[in-house]
Amino acid sequence: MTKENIFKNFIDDPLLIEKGYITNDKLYKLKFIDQSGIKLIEVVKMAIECTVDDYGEATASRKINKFLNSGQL
Amino acid sequence: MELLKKIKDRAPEYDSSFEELITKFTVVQGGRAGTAVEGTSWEQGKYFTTKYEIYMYATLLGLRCNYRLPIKSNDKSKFIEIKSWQPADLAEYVIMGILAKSEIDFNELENKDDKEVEKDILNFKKLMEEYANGGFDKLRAKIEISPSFFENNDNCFIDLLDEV
Amino acid sequence: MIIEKIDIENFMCYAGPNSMEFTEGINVIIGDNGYGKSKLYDAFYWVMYDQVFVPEKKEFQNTKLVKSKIISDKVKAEIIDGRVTASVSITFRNLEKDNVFILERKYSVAIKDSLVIESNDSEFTVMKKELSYLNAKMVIDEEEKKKIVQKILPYDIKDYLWFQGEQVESIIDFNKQDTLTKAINVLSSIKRYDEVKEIAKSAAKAGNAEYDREVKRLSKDLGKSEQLENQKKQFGVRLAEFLIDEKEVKENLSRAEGKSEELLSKLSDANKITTLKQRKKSGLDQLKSLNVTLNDEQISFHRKMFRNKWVLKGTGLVHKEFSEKYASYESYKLEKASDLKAKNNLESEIQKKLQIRLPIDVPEPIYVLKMLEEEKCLVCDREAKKDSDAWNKIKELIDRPIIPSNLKSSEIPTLQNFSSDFKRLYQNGLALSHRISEIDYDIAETLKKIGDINSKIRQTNNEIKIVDDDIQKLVSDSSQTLENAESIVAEFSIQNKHVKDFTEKLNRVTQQIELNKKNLNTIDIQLKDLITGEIPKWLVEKKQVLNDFEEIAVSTRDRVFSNLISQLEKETNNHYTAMTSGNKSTRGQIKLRKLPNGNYMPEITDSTGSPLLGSNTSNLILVKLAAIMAIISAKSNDGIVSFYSLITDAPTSVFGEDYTIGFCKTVSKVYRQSIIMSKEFYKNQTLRNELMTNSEIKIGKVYMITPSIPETERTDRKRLSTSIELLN
Repeated sequence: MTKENIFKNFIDDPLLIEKGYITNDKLYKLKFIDQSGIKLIEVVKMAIECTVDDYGEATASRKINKFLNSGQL
Repeated sequence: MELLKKIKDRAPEYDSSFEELITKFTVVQGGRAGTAVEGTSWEQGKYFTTKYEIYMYATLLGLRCNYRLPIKSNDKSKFIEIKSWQPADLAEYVIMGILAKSEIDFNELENKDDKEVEKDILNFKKLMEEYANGGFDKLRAKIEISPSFFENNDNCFIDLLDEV
Repeated sequence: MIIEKIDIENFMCYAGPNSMEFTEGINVIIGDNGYGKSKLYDAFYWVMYDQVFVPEKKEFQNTKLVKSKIISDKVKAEIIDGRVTASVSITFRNLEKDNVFILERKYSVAIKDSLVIESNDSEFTVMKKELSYLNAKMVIDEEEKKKIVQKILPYDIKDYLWFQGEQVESIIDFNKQDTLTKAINVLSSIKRYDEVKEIAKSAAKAGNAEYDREVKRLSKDLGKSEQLENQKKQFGVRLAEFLIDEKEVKENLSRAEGKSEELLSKLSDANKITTLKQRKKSGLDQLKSLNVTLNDEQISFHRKMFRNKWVLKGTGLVHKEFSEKYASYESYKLEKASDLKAKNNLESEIQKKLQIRLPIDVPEPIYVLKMLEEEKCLVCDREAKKDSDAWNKIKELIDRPIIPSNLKSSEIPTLQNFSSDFKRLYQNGLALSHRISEIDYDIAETLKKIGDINSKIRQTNNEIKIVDDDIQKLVSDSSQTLENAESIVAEFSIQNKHVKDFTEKLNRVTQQIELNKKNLNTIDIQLKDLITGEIPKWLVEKKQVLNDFEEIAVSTRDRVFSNLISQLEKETNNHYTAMTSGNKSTRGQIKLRKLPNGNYMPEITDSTGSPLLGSNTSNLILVKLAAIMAIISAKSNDGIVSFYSLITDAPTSVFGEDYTIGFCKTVSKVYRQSIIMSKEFYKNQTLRNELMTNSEIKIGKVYMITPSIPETERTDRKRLSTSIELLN
């Protein structure tokens, strides 16, 4: 399963639309390599990358934390 | 009915050598023949519940085949008087049969006195015994030739009625 | 990869050199129980994994443990001093690239004075031909050897491709998380999603903890905060406990539901068995009463010799003789009587002649005297002179002689009178002789009656036997004992009760969980109320994002898993339908129903989705086989497994004939190559013919294996070898 495949499965989750993270048509066009501008989606991408590339859970945690702490988009 | 009464008072005898044959097929209870329960006697492989039954059977067998055989032996056994034989009409039929075969002239008989009548009745009894003896002899012969006839066949005595 | 050939030498029951070639399609090895089919499977497995299946332990064991048992007893017995070696080599061929791999494993031991000196390990060699017509070269590099083995039969799917019939039950148990997940993983890696889930969980946990710390830090009342924190901890602990409870209850509920479902299908079998048993009982009762009747008839049959006078059969002549004698007796008597009568008649005739017209004493004597005196007839009033005819006639009236009033009886007086005896005997004999003509008919009737009862008894016996056979068949089909059949209803209601109880318990636990969550929420709010100032926005957002991340991770994982289950379900259905298409009875569809504990349960349902009752063991085995096939075939686009071969001694004996052919058809369609060991075709010649001639089955090679010693005589294995015969 490619990162793209896995990514697609995650963003299919109804929560994203329910909680207003993204709209339907934007969701449709979204690709893994795109910068979504949505924190949640970026976090998901990070997690996917770390597992597929075998970076381990610790690395994933650090990355995510750093990202969310910085307040960056 | 004097004649019949006198006849029926008699108890015929059979050759004691046939005792085994008789007991093989007859229920013999201590002294009281004819009181066996039908079911159990069947299960014991017996065909006749009393001695007089097999005796009647043998006599009729002798009559049917016209075969009488004098009893050679002096060892004879008695059983019950004819007047106790059941069913009575069968017993009378047997009597009739023997009378038919006997040399007794009916008309002459009526002219005889009691003593002579008794003599004739004695002869009658002897004749019956001879026919019965013939019948038993036939049975014995059949057992010797084909013992399986009696072993494997529940209807053996009835089938034997067909044989002349 | 196709398996081209296997060479087996001195391995287990295969003494000496043995060889089998295989082609594409379904290759079948036929042999009865104990003929060497599973040892053949062991040969394949041994080469690849250095293990054989030990039936006593019901597990695979390494060569190290099994040791010289691997070597044929016959060969070991033949050597006093020397060396014996068991070897198996399999030739694989990649049809696309046309390269060939020969994998060989050997195990040898020394024998001294007929004693075996054990060795330790087996040797494993791999030879490769770049192209099939080139020479083979030994592969030296251990890593490359491993890669080749992995390529030919990857470790994670080997269980679904090379398996023994006995393993089918356990290879895929839908109600066991591990086998289910393992199977799903083969279809598509669910591992990634599990890992992301773990990341999300721990991230959320950490993020929440960070947030809480901030809240605490900003609290205006540290004491109260402390208190609330403690409460929170307590609720947290309780919540954790309830969550564990919930998991356990869900497990129990799933198990009960699973058992109940299993019993439901057995229930209809059990009901069938119960009905049949009742039929058998009523048959036996009927038989009993028939036997009683027969006995009664037979007893009374014999009594009829006397009661119905059968003993008189053929004695008609006797009565005839007596009749003749009696008749002559009677006629003599009558003669005598008629003589007398004639005499009497004569006298009465004379008297008649003498008698005048007038009756006696008419007229009375005094008048007669008067008439004589007056010489006149007073009757007709005519003259009657003395001595005239008329006067003489009148005189005769007085003079007529005395006639005796009764004629003498016409009996000759005898000394005895036995006529009533003889008459009685005659009449008795007459009545009985009339019966004689009916005797034959009577006997025949009674014999017929007895014959009828006997044939009814035979018929009832037959019926009972048929019902018995049906019961046996049902029992073996559903592998239940007769006793089980009756306890199934009881068991079923027990499981149903469990389901009810656990469902209730689950509800309660869920409520508790909700309560505790609410409490925790309340405390959070209270804690929040205590803060002065504001929590940094980024932290708030971080907490939100991470919690949502966790939610998405969990939900996505479940969704992906469900989809894979659907995929598996669909593919399994395809195979199941194909395998059962030849069968007359309804086979239904397969549904994988989700259980409370997250596992799944296979159900056979009808077209409306309600469970199909009476699915017996053979159906369920078929479902599992279909699922095992589906796991591999779902991965390829066309549903055909081209690269790997199926090797199995499938439990076709559970199927019965119809399914066996269906199974073979499907296997030959789904797998490019398969090797099936079966005993089904051993005894059943018709089935064998169908296997080899059915146009829908792509048949490869068919072999028959026969041991040199039948199994029953196999106390001494020293002469055991196996012969292999190619049938096509």
